[in-house]
Amino acid sequence: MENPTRKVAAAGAAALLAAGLVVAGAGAASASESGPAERITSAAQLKDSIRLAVAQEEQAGEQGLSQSVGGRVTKVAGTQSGTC
Amino acid sequence: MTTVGEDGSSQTWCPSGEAHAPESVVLGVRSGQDGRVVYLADPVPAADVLGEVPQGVEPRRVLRFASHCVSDCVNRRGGDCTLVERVLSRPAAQEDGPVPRCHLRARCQWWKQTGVAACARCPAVSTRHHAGDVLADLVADPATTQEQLDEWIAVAG
Repeated sequence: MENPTRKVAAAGAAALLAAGLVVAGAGAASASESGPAERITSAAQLKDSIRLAVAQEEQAGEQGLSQSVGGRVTKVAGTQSGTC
Repeated sequence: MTTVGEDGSSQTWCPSGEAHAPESVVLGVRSGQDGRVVYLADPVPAADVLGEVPQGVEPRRVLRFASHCVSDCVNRRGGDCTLVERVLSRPAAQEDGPVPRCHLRARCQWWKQTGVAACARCPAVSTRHHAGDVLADLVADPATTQEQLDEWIAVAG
């Protein structure tokens, strides 16, 4: 799977952005090369990613609860934020 | 995939949209480091993916969906989205990474409204509640004004 880091001239940046391509910001060469440039391109990859995300979510939920109740895990209804 | 919006203009899409709207597609999965979004190369209908999310897990906590930007959204103010304005007001929790390669950009309301600045923040936008994160609550609350947000950030330092 391709995973290039592209450095583009400013003049062409707008057109490339419209096409949905990556733009590496100035001074961010190391971040762009190690950043989340991968994309999900197959159904199998999508399923694996969902499983990973669910596991991360469950782990984060348990850690958050243990921090807030001093080590005991208690079921608490969560709330949502950050979406419309 | 050009559709006409409610005012006759080209329909824009919300990158933090609904999971169950008829047009909803999956934008990405929150499987990256610290729950950041990993984007799909091509849109996949949400209906085709929702079955992969275990029961009891809110789909928007693990997936990001794109759906039409609609006038009755609580974050809508005229033709603008106030959510992206609040997101950009918040200091970045970490240095912004590379602009993600997503399939939505040309139709994205956030990109149309604020340009690439929204794209840099997009991977970190989540539906996860962080206990005690007052700023996150303020950003998520459609009733929060820009002045309230600026004041809170100024006081917090």
